[in-house]
Amino acid sequence: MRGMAHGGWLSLAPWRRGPLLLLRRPSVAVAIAVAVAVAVLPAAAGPVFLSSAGSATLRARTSSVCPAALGSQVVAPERPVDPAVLATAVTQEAQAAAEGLGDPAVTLVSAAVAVGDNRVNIAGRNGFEAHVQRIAGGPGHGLWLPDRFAAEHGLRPGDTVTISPNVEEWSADNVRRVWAPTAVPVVAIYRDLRDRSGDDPFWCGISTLYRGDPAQQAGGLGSDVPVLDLLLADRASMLAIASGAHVQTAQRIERAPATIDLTAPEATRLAAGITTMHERLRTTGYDGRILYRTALPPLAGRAALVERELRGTVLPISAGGLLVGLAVVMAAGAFWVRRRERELVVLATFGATAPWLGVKAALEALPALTAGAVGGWSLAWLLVARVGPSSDVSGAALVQSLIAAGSAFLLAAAVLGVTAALACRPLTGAPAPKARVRRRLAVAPWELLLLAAAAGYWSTGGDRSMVRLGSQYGTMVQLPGKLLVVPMLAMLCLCVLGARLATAAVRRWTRSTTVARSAVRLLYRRRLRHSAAAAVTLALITALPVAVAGYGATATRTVSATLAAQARLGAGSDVVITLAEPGAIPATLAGRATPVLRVDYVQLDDRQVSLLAVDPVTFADVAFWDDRLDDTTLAEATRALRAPAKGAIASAPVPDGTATMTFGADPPVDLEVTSLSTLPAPRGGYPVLLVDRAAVGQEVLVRAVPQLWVRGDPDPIRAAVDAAGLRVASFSVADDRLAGTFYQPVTYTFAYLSALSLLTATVAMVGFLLYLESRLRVLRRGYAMLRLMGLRSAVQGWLLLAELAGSLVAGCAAGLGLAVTAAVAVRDQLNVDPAAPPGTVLSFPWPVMAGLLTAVGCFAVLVAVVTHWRLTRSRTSEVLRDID
Amino acid sequence: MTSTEQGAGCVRVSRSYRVDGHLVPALVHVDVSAPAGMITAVIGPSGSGKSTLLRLLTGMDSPDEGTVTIAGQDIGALSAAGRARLRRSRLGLVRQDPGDNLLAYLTVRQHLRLAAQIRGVPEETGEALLAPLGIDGRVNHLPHQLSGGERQRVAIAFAAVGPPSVLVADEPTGQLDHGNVDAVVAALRVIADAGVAVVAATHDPAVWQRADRVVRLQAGRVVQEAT
Repeated sequence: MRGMAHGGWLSLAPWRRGPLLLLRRPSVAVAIAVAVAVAVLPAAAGPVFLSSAGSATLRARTSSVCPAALGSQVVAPERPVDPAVLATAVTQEAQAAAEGLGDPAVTLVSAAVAVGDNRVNIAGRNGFEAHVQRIAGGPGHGLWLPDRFAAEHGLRPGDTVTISPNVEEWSADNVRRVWAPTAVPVVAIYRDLRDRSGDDPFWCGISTLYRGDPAQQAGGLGSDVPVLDLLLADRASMLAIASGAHVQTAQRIERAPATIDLTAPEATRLAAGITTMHERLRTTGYDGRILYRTALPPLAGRAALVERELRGTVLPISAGGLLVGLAVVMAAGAFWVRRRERELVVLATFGATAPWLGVKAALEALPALTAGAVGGWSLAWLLVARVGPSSDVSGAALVQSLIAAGSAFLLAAAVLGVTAALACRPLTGAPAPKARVRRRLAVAPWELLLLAAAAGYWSTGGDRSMVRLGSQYGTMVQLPGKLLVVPMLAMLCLCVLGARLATAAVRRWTRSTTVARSAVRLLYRRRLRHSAAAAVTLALITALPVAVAGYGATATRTVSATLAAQARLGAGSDVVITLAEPGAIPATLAGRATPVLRVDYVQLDDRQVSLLAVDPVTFADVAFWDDRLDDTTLAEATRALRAPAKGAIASAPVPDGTATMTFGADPPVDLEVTSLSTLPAPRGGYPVLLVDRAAVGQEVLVRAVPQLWVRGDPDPIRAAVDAAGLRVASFSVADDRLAGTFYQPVTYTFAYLSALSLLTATVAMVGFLLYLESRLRVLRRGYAMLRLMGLRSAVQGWLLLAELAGSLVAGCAAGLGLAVTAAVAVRDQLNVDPAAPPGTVLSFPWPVMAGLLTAVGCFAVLVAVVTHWRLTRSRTSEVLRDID
Repeated sequence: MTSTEQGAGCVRVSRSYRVDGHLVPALVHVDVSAPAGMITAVIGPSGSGKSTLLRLLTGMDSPDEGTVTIAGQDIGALSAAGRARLRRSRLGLVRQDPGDNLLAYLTVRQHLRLAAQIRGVPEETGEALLAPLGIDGRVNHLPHQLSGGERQRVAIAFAAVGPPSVLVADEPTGQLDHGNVDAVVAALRVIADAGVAVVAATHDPAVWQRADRVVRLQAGRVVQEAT
């Protein structure tokens, strides 16, 4: 027997020229490229999504932390070392151990210094002059006074203030040394930092010097500790005050990260570097009373925890997506064989075996595979950047993503080759499986196994709605697998079962012997009967991704809506502004803001409540409310406040009826209380009591914290408040309550599912195109034959549209129905925090669903029009001679 | 080795298919021999088993019983890889549709080179067939630039490079006009004269009347065998 020429099959033209051959069949190339993109996308998206989630978690936490606190803070309370020496040491160690820190900010602080009859804080921070608003005076050595302090004491630049020493020194014979107060000149007046609504990040590291300690104030304990004024001084003046005036002076050396846009691995590395730097400083002699601080390690640890724990849900989703993609690649492989059958038979007659034909398939598909892999990876990156939690992704995640994409690419190439080889076996004379076995496999209702698996998973998956994981970095909520696995399995089962039943129904319907009213109807029925399995399969591959997309979007919206409702109910409204002093509602916020006076320690009979004295006219329009709470609207509920009798509304467990409110020196007030299950803005677990602000006593008016509750976007609201010159103590945004909480990863997971929606839509599109391409030859012949028989082209166009759009739209509608059913079935499980009112807010993305249905319909019409146009361009004579 | 051993043969070959649950016999105890250097025409009405016989002779199908030999080798005794090797070196196939026999992206010359490479013979071997087949002026043409008859003759040359021991042709003139039929039959004769056993399933009298042997099949059985 003669042997093949040197080089084997790969050296022959059909293999050697393989990578260029598929370009002659762009539809097959496009189908393969998209199929591979579908497989690569989820594989590549997994690592970048996890990194994105870690970055978002970190960002959510770091955005509310002073950059200086994120970096290194070295605090020497009472000058145990020379400031210059310590600063140099910190710089050296930072360079050695903690790359990624910014320039040092050195601050000398003298706390609670007696200036005349007052106590103040004095600080000297390099470069402070550029970060204050100078009102009077100019540069020079001396003190900068806040305007309020200066006005209160009648001080101007050029005046002097007297600083009393606070350093205690004892002589050798145990006699306390006494120094005389020192006069320090005033060189400038600046606008009090407390009168600015937003803090300049420059000051945040030492904001406690002029705002007090928020921890003390919030806790109530120590809230009577006065917040001192902050006097500023240049470094030379500070050193002179410390030594000449004998004032205790601490030194703070802060090095914020060079950038706070850190990814989780970068943060972990920087945190480790800072820790090492502090250790080295300690061991090189700078220990004792020196404090070393950084807030970064726990935040970085938490981001890493989120990244790690999300793997449990993200990777299975990615694997599922990859499997779906590979299934499409298998279809593409079989499709390739059908389209290349003529050539394959020729090669098979020359002895090419099925494996070599599979290799040829992979070679031919190589450009399409490569384009698809690049497209899939790009799409993954784009998806995460656009709809992911954050666009910041670590370099390591990118590398992992590339490796995953490369692996998926190789896997797809292998699957395509193997599928093609298997599909080629009949062409090469290989024995086919026994028909009886195939028939039995085809009729076995194996999809019911999926339903059984779903039921089993549900019953063994526990009844907790969300799994909370504990660690040294806190708790987080992980999406239970059953909320992903069970609906997916159930929907897959119902889709396949539905397809099986629909195929039988279509065949039964089209078998009907009743005479069709028109030739078109007859043709439609005949075509449908002939391709019942294909039509139902098309509907199935449309229904399944639409169901997944619909379920994912519904779950995303429901979890988000529930969390948002809980956050708004907890905060009171979209934005709650606590004012340092009462102020009027800015004109630009009229109609969406309401004034509230809040007192948290009011007695109602023998019960402590949080009192909210509100404007009954505007409160209901602004405060958050969900009508499912107590089956009433807030407007209806607050109508009781306007009654002539002193009405009040209280949240449970305060009962209905008359109750007496007492507060401080105000006379007791009898109130007619209407009880509701919950009210906005509870605090500390105490019931909330709503009353008309016009009805409260004088002491409440004096001691209450004035607030403005506003609905709308925070940024314009902040601008309006600044423009109105209101003095803001705090600016609380309801959505910020979600940021950085342990609930956050759940929304990340569903965001990933939303990204999967795009993937599944692509699957449907590819399936549809594959189906159409495989039928094009038949459609061409049918078109030519019917034209010869006199059936008009337009009629055939409508027939084609009905045939294509029917399957697609039916599949889409069925998918949406399944999505709604699945979401309703697991609605109680979609509440991250079941204990918090108002319960699950089931939110269907109707616009998205309508858009999806419209898009599918438009796509079907477009494809039908294009296909019909292609059919009309066929030459009847050539088609009937099968010259293709 | 005799000419029959060089050619193809079937001994007591039977093959049946299951259609809608029923076993339908396609061939029943068929004995056929196709000696080397001769054209053997297999004729018979549609459904008589011609195509099944050709599939068995090319190793694309296996008999339920009996033996099929190509150049003295029992195909049934070979593995799938062995059958592929046999097809590569000993068998050529020409199908009815001229378009089914050629690769759209290869010129005539490239087809012949490809066949020569596969069969491990000098690349010029194939081109020597062009002149006897009357297509030597078309070596640089692609299939779509050829007429149906030219394509079929190129297909015969393509399948006959080597040459193989057996050339199987399934209705080789089924889509050709009379002029082209003559050219194709002449081409088959050229190949047979080179020592190849040519087996042609046909309805066309122009083919079987010029064949060396005629085997008539009916309902899966050989009803007539004439030389």
